Amino acid sequence: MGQSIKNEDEFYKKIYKNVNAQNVKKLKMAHVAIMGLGGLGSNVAAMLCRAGISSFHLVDFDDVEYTNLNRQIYKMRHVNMAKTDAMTEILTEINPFCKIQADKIKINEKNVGDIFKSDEIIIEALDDAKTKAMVINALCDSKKIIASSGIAGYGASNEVKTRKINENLYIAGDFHSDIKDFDTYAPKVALVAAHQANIAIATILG
Amino acid sequence: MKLNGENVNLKEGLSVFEMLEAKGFDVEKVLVELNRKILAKNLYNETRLNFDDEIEVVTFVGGG
Repeated sequence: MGQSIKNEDEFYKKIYKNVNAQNVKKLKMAHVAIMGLGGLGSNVAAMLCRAGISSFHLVDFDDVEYTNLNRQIYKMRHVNMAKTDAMTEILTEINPFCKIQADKIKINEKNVGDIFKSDEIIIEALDDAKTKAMVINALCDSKKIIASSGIAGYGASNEVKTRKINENLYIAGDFHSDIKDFDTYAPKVALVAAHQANIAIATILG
Repeated sequence: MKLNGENVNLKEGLSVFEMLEAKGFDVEKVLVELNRKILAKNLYNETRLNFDDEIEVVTFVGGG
């Protein structure tokens, strides 16, 4: 059983035995902030944790609801828990030694700079288009931001793209499927989340 | 003037804000790049467009 792993060194040796050691070291040293823990953020967090990143700053204001479970990574037992707590639990199940700062807070124009002042790489995984535009406009001068254009629907996988705006800003998505016009389904949300997680890893590994 | 890769006929001297309104963008849901540099939101009114400008407007949609 996995519980027999006693410390972080042993964890990394066992899990990442077949992965390039230098890359594992870089990922283990990396820290990523995730802004929003919905369909995008919850999937990005799990993927990055599994890839070996060991330090996270999780920010979300919502509790897990039943209607989240068709596409977000949470399980029945997480319903009514704060997403920050549920995600902390899930990440700790993937890597019992990861370090997590979790803030249950609503992001606005006034507090966004302060909340993320110690973070260098930020995954923007918010669900509201205006808030997305606001935080990206506010932070793109000083942070590396891996954002999403918003996502909904199903099919048309190849329409999902990662756009590099500049060295510090990438945006993933299909740039037109708005949640107000489409239902949301797990695969397409996870697809965009994978684009974001992939860029985060490429950014860290250089 | 180029807007999102396509040649457009816009009056020279139009502000970025006026251009966004004229082209039907929701100013609160966009990120504007002017000649490959992100333009801060508080400069949309005072920044005037020239004939040789290249403008990219990224529109954010909901869902996450």
